[in-house]
Amino acid sequence: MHFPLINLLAPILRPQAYLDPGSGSFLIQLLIAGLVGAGFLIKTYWKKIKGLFSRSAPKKEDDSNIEQ
Amino acid sequence: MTVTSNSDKRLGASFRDSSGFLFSREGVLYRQVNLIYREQYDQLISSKLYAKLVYAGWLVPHEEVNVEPDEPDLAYKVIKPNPVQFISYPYEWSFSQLQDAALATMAIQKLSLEAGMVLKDASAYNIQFLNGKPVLIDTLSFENYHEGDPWVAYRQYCQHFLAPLALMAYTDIRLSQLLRVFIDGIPLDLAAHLLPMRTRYGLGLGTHIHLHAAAQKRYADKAVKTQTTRKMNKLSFMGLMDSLESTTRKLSWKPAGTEWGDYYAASASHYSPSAFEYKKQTIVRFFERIQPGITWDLGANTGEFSQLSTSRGSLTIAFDIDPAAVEKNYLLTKKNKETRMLPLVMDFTNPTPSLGWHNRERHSLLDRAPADALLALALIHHLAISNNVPLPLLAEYLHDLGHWLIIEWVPKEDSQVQKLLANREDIFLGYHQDGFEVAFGKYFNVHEKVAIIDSVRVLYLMEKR
Repeated sequence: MHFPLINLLAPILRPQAYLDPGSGSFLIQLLIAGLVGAGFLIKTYWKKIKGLFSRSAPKKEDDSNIEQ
Repeated sequence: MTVTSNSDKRLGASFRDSSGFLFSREGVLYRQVNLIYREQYDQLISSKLYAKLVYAGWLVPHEEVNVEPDEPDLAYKVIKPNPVQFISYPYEWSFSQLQDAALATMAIQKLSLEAGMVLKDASAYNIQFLNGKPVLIDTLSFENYHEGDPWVAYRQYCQHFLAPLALMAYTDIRLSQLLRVFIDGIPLDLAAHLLPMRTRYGLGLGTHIHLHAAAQKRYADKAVKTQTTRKMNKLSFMGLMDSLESTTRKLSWKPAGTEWGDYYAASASHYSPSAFEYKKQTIVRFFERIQPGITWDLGANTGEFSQLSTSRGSLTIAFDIDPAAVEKNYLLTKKNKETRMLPLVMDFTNPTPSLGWHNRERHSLLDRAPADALLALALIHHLAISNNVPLPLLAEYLHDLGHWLIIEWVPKEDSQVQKLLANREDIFLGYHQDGFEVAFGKYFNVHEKVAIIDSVRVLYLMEKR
């Protein structure tokens, strides 16, 4: 019954991915991410809108003194 | 063919990930980066992610060195990370230490995403406290981000960080000790079972712990196919990270009603102000004489006496059995930006054992000894009387833990010892000052012996024989 759902998963396992992500963890992660993705978008835009109305410019990380 | 030196030693915790491993040679710690990890390592450096993380204090700095690799056939590079002076483990951390380690992991994940990379693991053991701050010590924890992929370390983050933090916050602070038993983090079904019902209905723990545990149970033993059209877009990925971060941040624990929380406030009952001050001055004088690099305070409480050694430049590991005292000490350390104090939870009647594969993955406390100096103030009666440890055994143990020993003798007449003996028979015939001196004299040379004025206690400065 739930095999089609399992087929939706895509653990692309490269050699570096040494952890077993776990089937259930993979599945639920897709579901939760789907749920929170929209909320995150709204949150990000809301922050930007708030930023437009606040006096101080939004903080930007200064990485000028970071050397490679 | 390469001849490797006899002193080469591959570290016991460094075997899971094929990207590389740690080895020590002539007492210096190196990390071999394997060819298999070449692309990711180069990306870490060229994307400036390495520089950004080091600049932000999130990643241990390293230098590439021209040293013979331990396994040359596999090797791409050898790097020498800045040494971590004292390794500690999540089951020794207080609530806020584990929470800060979790938030550090998420902060690193965020910066990595900006550089087109992602953490491929989220192990609490990859975080160490360096100069008072949680830092990632595994330089090979990064992989390239491929849009569409879920987070491979999601389960690990939940087991290593979210589950223990939720249990400490909602059920009992002592459940951090489950991390000692479960080396790869607390199983989520167990966490779900132990957490109060109400945590099911919150969006954060409700999904990342409860729903997650249910999904694991349902899809256990079921293989997953690698071909699919369904992927996780970057926005959803970032949403998931944001959700994990805010769920972690919202958890809180406030120490209340613990035995030792207000120890110093109550200390007036067995120390007059002049005795307290005299004790402090004597200890300062001892520290100035011995100048230790690393000090272990074996019963530090909230760290009042540990500060005497940090302020003299000694890295001080401030152990206490009480998670509330350790939490208070950590929060104070953080507030004061103290870089030389590391508060840790430790029960000296049952100190951290060696754990994990071959019992070599996580070190026992004894493996991490010796310290340059031990501070054992108001401790001896707890071990000798509450835990029935005979004085000769206590002397032998402390001899194994450190070179110098500053120890306070607390005689039976002391009000604190009287308290311990109030409801039990006094079977401690050998617990007297002569017995103490004989027992410790076998393992230590006594350099100074100072009776604390206005008190029955005596301070000793001893050096290992």
